[in-house]
Amino acid sequence: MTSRTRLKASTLSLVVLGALSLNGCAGKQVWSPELESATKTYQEIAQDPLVSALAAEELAMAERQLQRAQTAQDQYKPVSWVQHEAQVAQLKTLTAQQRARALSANHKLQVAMGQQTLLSEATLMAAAPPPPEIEPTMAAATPFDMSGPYYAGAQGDIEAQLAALSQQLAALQIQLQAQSATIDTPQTLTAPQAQTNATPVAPVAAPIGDLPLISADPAGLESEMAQQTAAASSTDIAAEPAIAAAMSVQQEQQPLPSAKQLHRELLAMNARSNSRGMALTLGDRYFEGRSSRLWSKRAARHLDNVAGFLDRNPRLSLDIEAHTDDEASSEENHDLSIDRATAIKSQLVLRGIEESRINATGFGESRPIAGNDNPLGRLQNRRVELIFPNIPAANI
Amino acid sequence: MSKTNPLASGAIIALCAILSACAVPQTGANLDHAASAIRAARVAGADTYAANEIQAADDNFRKAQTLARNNRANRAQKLLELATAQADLAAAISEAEHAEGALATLEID
Repeated sequence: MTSRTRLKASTLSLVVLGALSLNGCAGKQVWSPELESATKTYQEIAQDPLVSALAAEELAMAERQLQRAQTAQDQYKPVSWVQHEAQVAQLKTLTAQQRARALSANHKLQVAMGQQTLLSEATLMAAAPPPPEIEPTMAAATPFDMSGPYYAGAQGDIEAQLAALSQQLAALQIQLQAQSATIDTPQTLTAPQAQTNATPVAPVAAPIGDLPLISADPAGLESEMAQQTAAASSTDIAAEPAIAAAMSVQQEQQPLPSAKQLHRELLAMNARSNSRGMALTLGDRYFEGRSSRLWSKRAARHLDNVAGFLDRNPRLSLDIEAHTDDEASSEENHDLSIDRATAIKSQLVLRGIEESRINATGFGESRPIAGNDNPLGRLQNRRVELIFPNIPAANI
Repeated sequence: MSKTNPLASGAIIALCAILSACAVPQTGANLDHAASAIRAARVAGADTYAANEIQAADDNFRKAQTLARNNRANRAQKLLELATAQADLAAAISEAEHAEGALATLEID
């Protein structure tokens, strides 16, 4: 056999082996009921404005997973592969739905308890069902509708608009005067506060001043509004320190909420009773690997909740206790736990909580709650506990 | 210069190509990730509120551990991915149930 023949034979064998390997990694494209089901579930859930507004991140993850499943099918991957990707996509979609449900319920809970809600106005607006359509005649009658006759530019329309604005201003003035009359002026009012009460027009001037004016620009009304806006700004600025002082006094005079109420609030944050009081546990998943760097998005909700709770209850303090497993040396573990506790404390301080109210401690591997001989036990031991020592444990 | 058999060299190269194409990913990180998700779900109360989901996640996690020990890393990785997704769902259900329960209690009071 010549060297040329041998070369041909080796080339041929390479080609055959390559083809076999490619064939081994490929399959026939088949219809997957799991993918169809996952797609249908995603389409249904994605249409829900509550889910798309409150769990947008989770929904996007589900969409990406669904695309992976679709790509797997398009690339003729084995059917078990497509089924797996579709199953995970379906689970992620359902997770998005449940997350939105949880956020919605938490929001209602916060509203019911008079707490400051964590959802922004924009998110709530997006989550709300679309408003019913207003009949064209009603829309035209709305004074500030940009598409209405007031913005047509004709002289008659401008006059009509001026009249409407004047009428509305007068109505607002009357309304404000009525409100001022019902409010009892406190005896200890400072001069700026008295000035604020004596200038009833000012607060309403700002929103009207912000309105888009018509092209003809009626000078009289505009200058009046500008004056009122300036007056509102100056009284607001002058009143700020006095109002802050009054609010501070009011806050100090507020009675401490009952233990039951505090328990309810903590319950809403998934806190649990333990021997030291009420505690919220942040697991290892909130930190990036074996470091003290927080995954800000994951931890944000808990930190916002805790900061809000401490803000509303200024007499309460917080103990942050971080623990690790025994994987590294004792010194390393101790350092890591201190760093993690400090990281949480820093986040709360950044959210406006006084540093003196938070005590951050790291215990390293010295206080395990599970065995360190298996992954699950080690994971349970890697934790940060946020303990409210002033609140006794409750049997909720 | 020694003679090398081109057929043998070709076969070795092809074998390397096949092995690299079917390379097995590391399961250690995925094990940790899934265990973390299961732990988070338990902390959220999944044993009470989403027993089926957390049980399924647990089962898949254990199967994955066994498969990983038997060097079937690919299958183990798939099961870990599934376990993580099931645990995340269990956590979300628990959070929702927990919040709705607290809301209902508040409304009754």
